[in-house]
Parts: sequence; structure tokens; C-alpha cells
Amino acid sequence: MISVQEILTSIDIGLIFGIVAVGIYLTFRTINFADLTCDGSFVLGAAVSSVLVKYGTNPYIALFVSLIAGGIIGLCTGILHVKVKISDLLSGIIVAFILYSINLRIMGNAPNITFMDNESVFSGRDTTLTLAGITFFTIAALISLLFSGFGLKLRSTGYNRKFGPIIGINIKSMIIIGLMLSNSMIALGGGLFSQYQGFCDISEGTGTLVSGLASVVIGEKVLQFKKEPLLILSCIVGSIIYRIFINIALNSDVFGIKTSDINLVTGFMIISIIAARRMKKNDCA
Amino acid sequence: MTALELIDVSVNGILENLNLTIQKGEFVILIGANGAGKTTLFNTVSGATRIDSGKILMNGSDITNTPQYKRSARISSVIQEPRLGTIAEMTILENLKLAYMRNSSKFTLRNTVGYFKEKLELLGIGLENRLNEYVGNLSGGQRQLLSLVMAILSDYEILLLDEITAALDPKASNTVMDMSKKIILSESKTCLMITHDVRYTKSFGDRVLEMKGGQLSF
Repeated sequence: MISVQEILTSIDIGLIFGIVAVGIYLTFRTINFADLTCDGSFVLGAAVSSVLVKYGTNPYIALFVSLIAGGIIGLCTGILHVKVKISDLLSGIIVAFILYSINLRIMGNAPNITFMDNESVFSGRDTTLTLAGITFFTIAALISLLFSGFGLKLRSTGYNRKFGPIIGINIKSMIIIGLMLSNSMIALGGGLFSQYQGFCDISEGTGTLVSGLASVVIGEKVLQFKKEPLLILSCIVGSIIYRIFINIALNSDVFGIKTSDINLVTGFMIISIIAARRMKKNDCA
Repeated sequence: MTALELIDVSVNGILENLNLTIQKGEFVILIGANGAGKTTLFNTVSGATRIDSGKILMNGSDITNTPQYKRSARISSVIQEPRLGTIAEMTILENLKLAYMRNSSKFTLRNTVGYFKEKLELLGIGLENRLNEYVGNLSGGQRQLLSLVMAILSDYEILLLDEITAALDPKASNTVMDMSKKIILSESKTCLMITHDVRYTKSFGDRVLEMKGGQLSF
């Protein structure tokens, strides 16, 4: 049986990966761009934050620098797609591939960094409340942006790319800005995760995309918001539910599930939700 | 005074050294069979298609290399397919806001609802009372009328209409054409309407041009 402490841990990790899920939502849903940079930009945020905190930088400034670094990487993916005309999938893959070397360089060519004794945003504070506060301010800022005139233009990009230029929207710029916003969020999540753990590992970004997509799909299914900016909230809720579910699945000893089966469980969860949605649609047809 | 001038414009072998001059305030109708090059001409003027050679002048200034999204501040257009001319997943109000911001560098949208309602009332189909409804719930004809209102929301110099009834049934086509005529005449701005339906040439426009094999006949 899962303990209260384990549920709180799931909520903490759910909040961190909720920000990551929001970033994934921004590309996959808002601007309709299949961005695979995320596995690399998550580690980038973690690496930048870890190195800065380890060398005594204010942890909040470290998070801000992670956010900016993510934005710059989003800009690179955007330029590859928009200016060099590389497909969305390939431009993301190339940048994520390059990021592996860059992240190693940032980490001083070490595969991991430990800084548990250094001050983090969680030092002397309640972890869950601190995470809730950071998530609240990040999401509130993002929702207000998406509800603005600029947000309206950004959202229209994902729905109808032919329509944009007719009403004066520079689609190319919107794609680049969307990628910058998305990767900023993912890198911020990476930065928070490294400070939460007190260490950073070069391979911790593996599976970021799939877990983020799982959170997006679960959130959409559970809350069923129709107004798009509010769907941002459902990513956070979806992420928390996903983490609690994974925790229960891995701790319940049902079917002999082990920690190493996390990808298997996540994969089946996503397939089940999507299949249930498709079957429901077919029933209505 | 000349509003729009195409000089020796060639596009993808469809238009060859085409010349066209439209005066300011003139309402020109362009007819022609399918494949004559009407939509290519529309895309050329709106900026959706790049030209191979020639020049496009607007009020005497060269807009040949101006991208479509920048041209749209001065050239407003309504395309054939209502599904592509509006965003189904957004509300009527959101679609109108997007169109309103077309030639505005600011993103300010305050106090615009009254103005939107005033414009929608011109249509007389009650859309002004359905602002928060999703555009996907509207019929093809209603969506095309909404596109038309979106095209005239902010300041523009030339209105382009590309076979706006092509995707509609006869009844909806008549309604859309009647409303279009009413709106175009009330706006008194330069307009180029493309259609393959010669029925409308009698009661519409100052001048009718015909397009055949990528060339205009007057």
C-alpha cells in the first residue's frame, strides 16, 4: 500500500513534471509542432541549474538561467525548421542529439553532478508548498499570456496555418516563439528537478517526452476543459495523477511489476487512454 | 488614381506576362472557367504565391517582395473554403479579435465587442448574439459571411474575394452574394471579386474581366 509520504512525493514530482508537460503541450497542441528537443532541453535546464547552484549562485537565478537556456535551444530548433527548412521531427532530433555534448560540457564532462549540501529553492522551506508556489506563478503567467492578443495569435498557429498570413500573422515567428516558450518551460522543469534531487545526471531526460505526453492526455481526459488556455491547468493535474498512478503501480506488487517496468506501465497507460477515446468516438459515429 | 497594378507578371507557367490595372474605389469582377488561373491571380495579389517575374505595385509602391502576412494589413482577402478562412476551434469573438489585430502592432483588444456586434449586425443573421459560440458550430454559409466581416474589420485598401460561394449550396450562395454586395457597396473601397458564376456579373461591379489560359481579356 502506498504511504502518505509517497503520495506527497508523487505530488512534488507531478508538479515539477507538470511544468514540463505544459511545455510539451505548447508545442504538440498549441502550435501543432512535434518537437523532440525536450529530452535534451530537460537535461540542459538541469545541468545549468546544477552547475550554477554548485558554484554558489542564488538558486532562483539558477532557475531563471535554466529557463533562458531552454528558450535559446527552442530558438535553435525553430531556426532549423523555419529557416533551414528541416522537418519538425528531424530538427528536434538533431538539436537533442547536439545537446548531449553541450550538456556534458556544461557539466564539466562528468556524467553527473551532486550538490546536495548547497542551498536550493527548497532549503528551509516546505518542498510541496514551494513547488506549488513556483508552479502557480509560472502557469498563471503562461495562461495570462495565452489569453492575450498575442496568445490568440499563437494559438491560431496550431489550428490553421493557411489562415494565419491572411490575417497578418507571421506563422514562422509564431512557431519559433512557441518553441522558445515550450523549451523554456521544459528546461525550468529540469532545473527544478535537479534542485529537488540535489544532483543531475546526463541521462535523466530520457522519457521526458513520453511522460509529458501521458500527463497531457490524462489531464485532458480527466478535466475535459474546452477553453484552450485552461487546458494548461489540466497538464499539471494530469501530471500529478500520472505520478500517483505510477507510484501505486510500482508499489502494489500487482502482476509482479518492478521499478524497471515504468516505461511498460507508462506506455500501456497512454495506449489505454487513447484507445478508450477512439472507441468512444467510434461508438458515437 | 491606380490602386493596384500588375506589370508583366508570370507565375509557375500559369500566368504569363499578365498586366492588370485597378483604379482606386473600383469594383472589378474576374470571371473564367476552372483552371483559367483565377485563383493563381488571387494568390499572386494576396502574396500567398511568389511570382517568377514582373512587378506588383500598390498605390505606386512596389509590393512584389512583401510577404503575405505584411500585405494583409492593406489587402484584405476572403478565400474559397470557409473551413480554411476561419478557425473552427475558436469562438466567433476570438476569430473577430484575430482579424481585428491584422494591421495593429499592438495586442490591445479592449472595448472592441461593441464594434464587432455593429459589423455582425450588417449580416442580419444574429451572429452578434452568438459571440461566444465556437465557429465549428456554424454552417458553411455562416462561416463564409463571418469571413467577410473579418475581412472588413480593420482598415484595408483592397478587398479580394476568391470564389466565396464555391463551397456553398445555391441558397447559401445567394445569401452570401447578396450580403457581399451590400457590404462592398457600403464600404466603397477597391474590390477584386473572382467568380466562375456569370450570373453575378450583371448586377455586380464596375468592370468585368475574363480570364482564359492565364491571360485577361477585357
